Amino acid sequence: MNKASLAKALTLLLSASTLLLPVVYGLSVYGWNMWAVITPIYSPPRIDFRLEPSGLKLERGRLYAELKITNMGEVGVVFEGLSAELYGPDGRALAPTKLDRAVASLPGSTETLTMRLEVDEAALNRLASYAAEGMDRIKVEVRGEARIRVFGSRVTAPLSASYELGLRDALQQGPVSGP
Amino acid sequence: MKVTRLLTLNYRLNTPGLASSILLLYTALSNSPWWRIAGGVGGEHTFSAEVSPFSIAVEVLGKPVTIPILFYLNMAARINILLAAVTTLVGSLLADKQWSKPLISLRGLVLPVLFLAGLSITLNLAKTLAGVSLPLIGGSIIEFTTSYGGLRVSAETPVEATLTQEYWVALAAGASSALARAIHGRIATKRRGATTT
Repeated sequence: MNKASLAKALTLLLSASTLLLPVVYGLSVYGWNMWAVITPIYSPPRIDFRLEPSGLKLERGRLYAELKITNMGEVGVVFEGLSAELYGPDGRALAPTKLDRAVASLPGSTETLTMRLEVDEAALNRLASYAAEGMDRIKVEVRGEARIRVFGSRVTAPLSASYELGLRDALQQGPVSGP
Repeated sequence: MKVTRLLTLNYRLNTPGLASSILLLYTALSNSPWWRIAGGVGGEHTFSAEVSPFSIAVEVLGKPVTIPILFYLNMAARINILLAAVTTLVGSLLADKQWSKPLISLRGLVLPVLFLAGLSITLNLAKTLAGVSLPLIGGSIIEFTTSYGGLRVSAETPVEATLTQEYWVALAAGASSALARAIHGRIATKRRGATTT
């Protein structure tokens, strides 16, 4: 064997050894369990929220629906927007609903999500018709989609919450317009 | 022939090989990624991956994803390239020796090519198996729908992927080693010819 062949054989041998030895060592560390070395290890963070309707409130001529959000998971989220409607007891849409302000919900915290109900003349007429039917309090539901930011992703999730609305108080407020 | 003579300092030294070995040493000892991908906006990452043949770091929703064998494969690749750098250095310094040609390693060229091919295959697999279309270079938006607590939740994530400067350094090292290998034979021939005459 000449020197060139020897050098070639030696580099090949070293190269093969440096490729194989770490892998063989890795397999031995894991008890030669092939499945264990190729299986991804990942424990996703817990995502757990409790949503509780906490009531309707009338403030300076505006109607607001509040939702208490308890973040019981490990992931912080930001509620950025809402695309929802307020529905009457007969299932008819009464008023569009918007998120009053973005709310950040950190793990372990409880925050209040305030939804602003855009009650116009038509909605008031509808409420008045319920009152005319002899109803004093009605069940209303906010139903739609919430826009949430989670770890830099924009997530759209369905959202619904039921409330009891006192008709007399609501009708006394009159129509509301503007932001 | 003039170029070869210039590149070999009058057939004494394989300078492209020398350059290649230095770049290979830098590449193998660097912990910087060759390819980076991140999904998310506003400085937050839904997922991120920093990949090179010597280290792989993947995070999904802020938690690391690890595959045990990858650590050992990365270690193997690092030692292998270090060895290639050392043999290329020795071969380049002893360019006039006839046996030095096999020491000029082409692994520096093979690795960046295989790396890109491996990435393309992995991304295609992700598209086929998980329906997630991730870019090799550039930006895109991935959309997916999942079920959470019986509710249909849809998500939209902007993704940005890039080959880093480290990759181009590794490719330069590879190209340099290919040039070194090409001119190495001429050095030995010339030296042999000079000795005979």
